[in-house]
Amino acid sequence: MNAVSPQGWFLKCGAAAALPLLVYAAIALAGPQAPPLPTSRDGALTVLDRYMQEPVPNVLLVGSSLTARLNEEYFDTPNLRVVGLAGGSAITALEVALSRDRLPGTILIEMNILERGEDPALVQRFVGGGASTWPRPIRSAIAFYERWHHAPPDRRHAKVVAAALLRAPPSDFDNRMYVERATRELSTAPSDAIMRTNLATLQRLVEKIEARGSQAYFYNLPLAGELGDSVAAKATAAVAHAGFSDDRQWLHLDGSIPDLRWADGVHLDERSAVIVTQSIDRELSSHLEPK
Amino acid sequence: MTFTSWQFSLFVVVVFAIYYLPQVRSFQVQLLVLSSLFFYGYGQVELLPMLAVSVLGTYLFLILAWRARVIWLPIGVAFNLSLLAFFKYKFLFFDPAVISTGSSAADLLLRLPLPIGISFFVFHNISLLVDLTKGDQTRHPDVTEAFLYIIFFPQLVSGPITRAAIFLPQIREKYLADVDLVAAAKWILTGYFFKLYVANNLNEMTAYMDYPLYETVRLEDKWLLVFLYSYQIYADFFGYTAIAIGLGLLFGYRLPINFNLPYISASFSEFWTRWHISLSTWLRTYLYIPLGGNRHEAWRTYLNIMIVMGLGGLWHGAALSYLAWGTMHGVLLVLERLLLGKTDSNSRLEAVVRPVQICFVFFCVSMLWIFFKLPNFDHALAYLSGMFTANTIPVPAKLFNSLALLYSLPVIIQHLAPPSLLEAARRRAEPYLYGLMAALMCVEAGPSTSFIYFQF
Repeated sequence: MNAVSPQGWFLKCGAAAALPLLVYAAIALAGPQAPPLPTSRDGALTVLDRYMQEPVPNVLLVGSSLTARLNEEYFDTPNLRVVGLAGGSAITALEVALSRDRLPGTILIEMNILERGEDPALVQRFVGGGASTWPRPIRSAIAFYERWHHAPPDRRHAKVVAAALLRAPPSDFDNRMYVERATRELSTAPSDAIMRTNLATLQRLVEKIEARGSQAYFYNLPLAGELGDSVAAKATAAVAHAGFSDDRQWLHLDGSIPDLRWADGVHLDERSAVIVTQSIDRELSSHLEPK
Repeated sequence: MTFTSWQFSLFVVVVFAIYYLPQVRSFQVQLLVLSSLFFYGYGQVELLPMLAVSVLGTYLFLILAWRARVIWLPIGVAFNLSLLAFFKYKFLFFDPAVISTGSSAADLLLRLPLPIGISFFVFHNISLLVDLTKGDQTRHPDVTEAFLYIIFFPQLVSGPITRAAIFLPQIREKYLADVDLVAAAKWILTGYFFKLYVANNLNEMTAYMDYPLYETVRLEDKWLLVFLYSYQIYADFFGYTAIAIGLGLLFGYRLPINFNLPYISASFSEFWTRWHISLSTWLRTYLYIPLGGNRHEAWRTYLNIMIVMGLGGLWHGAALSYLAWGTMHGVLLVLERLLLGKTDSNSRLEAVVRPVQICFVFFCVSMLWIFFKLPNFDHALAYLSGMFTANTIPVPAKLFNSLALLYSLPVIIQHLAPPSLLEAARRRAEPYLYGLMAALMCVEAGPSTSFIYFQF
């Protein structure tokens, strides 16, 4: 038996919906802008949001998920940030970085992937003022809990972790299946037209960087075994080196280190990421020290 | 036009506002037919002629079968099954990218995409033909009524599959005063809540079950995802059906209940009386019983069960995974008949045994959803074997158990909270609870995704 009249029912229901929504809207509009949540699947939002919220670093690495594996706590170079966008590109990261008033003094650009261009939605979100996000209460609560419960290690602790990783033997994870798949995927060259368009965009962005007094350098992260000699990798490297032909602007990372391992053939595992960060540190200091 | 789009909300408001105007009362059926055609054609206008051919063809066979059922009923059923088979299974034989028959009309036909909801309106067509030519009907519906029964927009794309004998008698003039607005609102709010809050949020996690993402998932998370998908597919389909039932009520039509807490089923036969009830009823009425049902020897009953479940699986799509899903459900039903038929029920043990049975049925049903989630049979098998193989994934996908629990909670509470729990207090608090559900689905809706059953 329903004792409440339909009007009464809708009134109560409407009030119960409206009241929390009004409180929510007031908090969302008046409170600080909610950061993207670590519970979001799209890690690029979190990475770019952090870059925009924190002070501009001295050194910035931009790239794709390959670069995202380079944990910035493992670098010796001080005041360094890594903006690696999973599924994204260095171009998107550079567009966002260039939107800030100040630029890092040194910017390192990953050149492994040239067929990915700008992500207009991400750029619009962070550059075009479209960054307003309404908080989601449950996700915010869980994100708060996760940040508190799984806070990233501080620099000193990260160094201890890195040292422990280096003392341990290289991983014996069997990645043959992934390497075979990656080999198939990289057996054809990416579209030359797309790569050249993206290269032109990169050239334009590098000109802007240099015009603002910063230095741009380029690097290729090593890939597993034969993948480094794949058709796609070679074609990309040829386009990249043709576009940025000054060898002094290139970091020469040692890709032949036998200890390097790739979980899936292309992404470095944690221990290998530590080794590569040390290699970048060395290259950086040789490029940055006064000649 | 999906139920969760603002265009659909606007569409419903406009149709509802016109529908009960006194001047329109004589044309309510025509208004609903036109609205349903607009709803179906919105974004897929090229398939409207196919829908018209299907309905008009069925109506023609209905008129003919009315006079000579023995001849025209089988032809009418075959016409509909051919339509279903053609659109659903043609891509098994033709690659749409390289179709070239030499005839532009044939090429166009072969390239047409799978019409949304074809599985549902073809079943409505068959129900119309079978139910209305049994000889106990005094009149057959006119063409507009037949159109309304088949394409009534709330049930057009994903059911519930309403039998003609239940729907057609409801076609008469409707008055706003007769509409139970509170009941309609409760169905609609519940439906949207389950879709937006539960299903869409869980979908973000269960996307990791897709190939090749599942290779980045840890062993324990693979298990978690299977149960999350169980909750998701229920919330998604129950949500759709609840919205459809609520919309039906708004326009004066009672559509059948399609779900009755399926995950508290203590047997597989009980599960099929609680899950997608309208499909189970349809298959039982128009396939299992005509095949002989359980009226013959035991082996024949088992064969009938296997045929019905196998075809029920294939009805979902032309993929080995769907066939495997249906067939394995058939095997479980047969085994259950063989084993449970020989055990005596003991009421004293029931309190202990029933929860164990419920857990077992839920476990099996959830495992079989893997074939539903991964229509590629190889991927489904790889996922299954990955659930039993210890692995070391260097950079595993990150899933949050706390979020998984909070998004699954409505399904768990709905299934496990006893109906008698705080009944009086709950009734008093009901409008506030629905209001809070509405608020929560507004602020915590997951990323928009289409309903899972739209693809069927």
